[in-house]
Amino acid sequence: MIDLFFESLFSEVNFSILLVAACASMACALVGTFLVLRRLSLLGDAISHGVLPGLVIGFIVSGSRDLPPMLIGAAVAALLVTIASDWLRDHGMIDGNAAMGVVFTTLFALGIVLMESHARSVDLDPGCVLYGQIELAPLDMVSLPFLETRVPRSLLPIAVVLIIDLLVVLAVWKELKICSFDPALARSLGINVRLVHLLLMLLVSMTTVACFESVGSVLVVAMLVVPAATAQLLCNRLAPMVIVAMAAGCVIAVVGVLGADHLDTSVPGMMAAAGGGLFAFTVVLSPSHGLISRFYRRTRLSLRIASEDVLMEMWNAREKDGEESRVRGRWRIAAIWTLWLRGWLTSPRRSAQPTERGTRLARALEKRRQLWKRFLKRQLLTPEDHLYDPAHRIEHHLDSELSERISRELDQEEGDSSS
Amino acid sequence: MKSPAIEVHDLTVAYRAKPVLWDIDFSIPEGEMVGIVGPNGAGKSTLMKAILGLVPISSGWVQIRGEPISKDRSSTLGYVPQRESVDWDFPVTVLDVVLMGTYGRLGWFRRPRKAEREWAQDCLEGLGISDLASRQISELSGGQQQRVFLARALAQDSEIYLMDEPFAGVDAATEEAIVALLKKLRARGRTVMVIHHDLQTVENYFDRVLLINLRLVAAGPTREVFTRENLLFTYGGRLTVLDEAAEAVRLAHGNAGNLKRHPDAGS
Repeated sequence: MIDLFFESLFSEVNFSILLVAACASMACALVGTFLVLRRLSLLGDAISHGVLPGLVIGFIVSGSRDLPPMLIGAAVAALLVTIASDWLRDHGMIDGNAAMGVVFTTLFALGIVLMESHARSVDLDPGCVLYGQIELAPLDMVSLPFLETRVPRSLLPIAVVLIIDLLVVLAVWKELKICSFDPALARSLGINVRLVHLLLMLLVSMTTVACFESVGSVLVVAMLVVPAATAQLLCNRLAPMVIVAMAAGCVIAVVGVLGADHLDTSVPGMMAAAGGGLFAFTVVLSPSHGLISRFYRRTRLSLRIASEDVLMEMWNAREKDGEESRVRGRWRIAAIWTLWLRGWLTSPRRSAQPTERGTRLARALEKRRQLWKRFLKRQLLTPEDHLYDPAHRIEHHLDSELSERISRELDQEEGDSSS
Repeated sequence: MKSPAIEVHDLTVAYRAKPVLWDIDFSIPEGEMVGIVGPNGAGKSTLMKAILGLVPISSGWVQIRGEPISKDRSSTLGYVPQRESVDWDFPVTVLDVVLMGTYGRLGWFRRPRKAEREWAQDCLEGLGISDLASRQISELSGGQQQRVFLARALAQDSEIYLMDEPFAGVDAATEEAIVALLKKLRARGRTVMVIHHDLQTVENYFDRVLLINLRLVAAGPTREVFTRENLLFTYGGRLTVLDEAAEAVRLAHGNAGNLKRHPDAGS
């Protein structure tokens, strides 16, 4: 099975496709991280679509699919998207998202029109732009100077752009960081926030264009956002987030390429699906933000509160009966077992008594409960019949430091009023 | 005579052609603790941003220590924005945020090094939160967030500080820490301008106040200016004439197609 996996991975065809897919994913993940952090995910969408007319015009003017003229055209179009939508927003005509929506769909449509009317005779067609032609990568291999290996021709622009992205991000790392986190401060420090913004937009457009040919605009949009969003759930510092986003891009590429080979389906489609799957997986399993860990923490807290309530009831029952229990059913059973396992009850039965340690805890809880009642009554002037429930809630959360402070303040106040 | 720390002359600021601050005139001598007081929507933050050069000025001018505001003012003006102005889930640690205070001095391409790190750590120390240095900022309480912002301003090591509501929503201990910091800054001869909401504490904290409500109601030493009469004037409803005039300007520009920007607004 494992052998089969590696065999399929390193077959020359799959490896070429994988190389292209992984580089494209990493380049997109790298610049996408900053888009996601600046809450500009939609701008990635806008740019990756809005560059189309620039691409087509570059193509028409140069008459070839060489990268430089198409890149220049795309960069101009990308800046147009950014500047035009910012301008529309700043002049109060429509809100920012709507502005982007209008600008990029118009430009994208213009690109389609141009392509159909002027460039149809040659091989630039809407299908190629939307879905890419990554499956064709192994058919057009070139040898690299100084190296023995042959790589797909379509890898070259992507690799170049990936390297440029890396170099630029490293060079202006701290500017990108501060402009993303606190642009107002950045400006007050004399950093040219607008220039940094335009630089990022330029990187996004370059990356988008370089990846278009292989993976298509649909996947570019996914790769700009999904790896970064996944990394955001896992990291709490910027550098690890960028690295994890790029790693997620690689994982998506591997799963996408092998999955597509296995199921005999489209590689970009499989990659985007794999991205969605990876994100869902992270949403469930992330140690800090994940659903499971959140559920676990919540349950643990609820169990602690239920246990403490039950303990209090059992302890109180020795003195007075008749109060209805706050914890019933399964929670009560779980609470009693927890208390027994922790050594706070003598047995896991309803008739159990608190142990010595259990009694000590119950006394402490009772003290906090009374303290809070006193605090509510004296300082917040809460009516008598409103004291019970809040005190019951807060007793589980007062730590000793806060309790002491409240107690000190209350004593002081009582001292003042009596003298 | 020494030029004042901040001098604002006949300043008008407009937002989408509608003036939000009218004809503000004041000057602040060096080494003073200045409170900016006024109701919500009075233009206090806008005034601060205009001094920092963050919003375009429609007319008038601002001078910092006798020089017009320029691009490179990293060492003279320290800024503490409102706490809510940033995303506290951003993946950075407390030390990262404080280090941002040194970015202006570093300039393009240069990274903060050991010296900057130690300096940032000292600044955290100054606000009593050096133990939080490696915390992710989303784990901080409101008071701790504010202290981080102040530590970052301290890291800027500026001559003049502008703070937008540093006391908003902080606990008593943080308020004390901020007051202690302000006193320390004053002792070092720094000028500090603070947007403040708690009228009870104005007289204790500030040497000088600016009372603002779309226009400057009064400016001067706290004892002279912070009077019941002036406060009533500041908070006693806006001058409806100003509102209507601003609206008229906005409408006129709106009817002109809304495409023409205010001629002086810049970019």
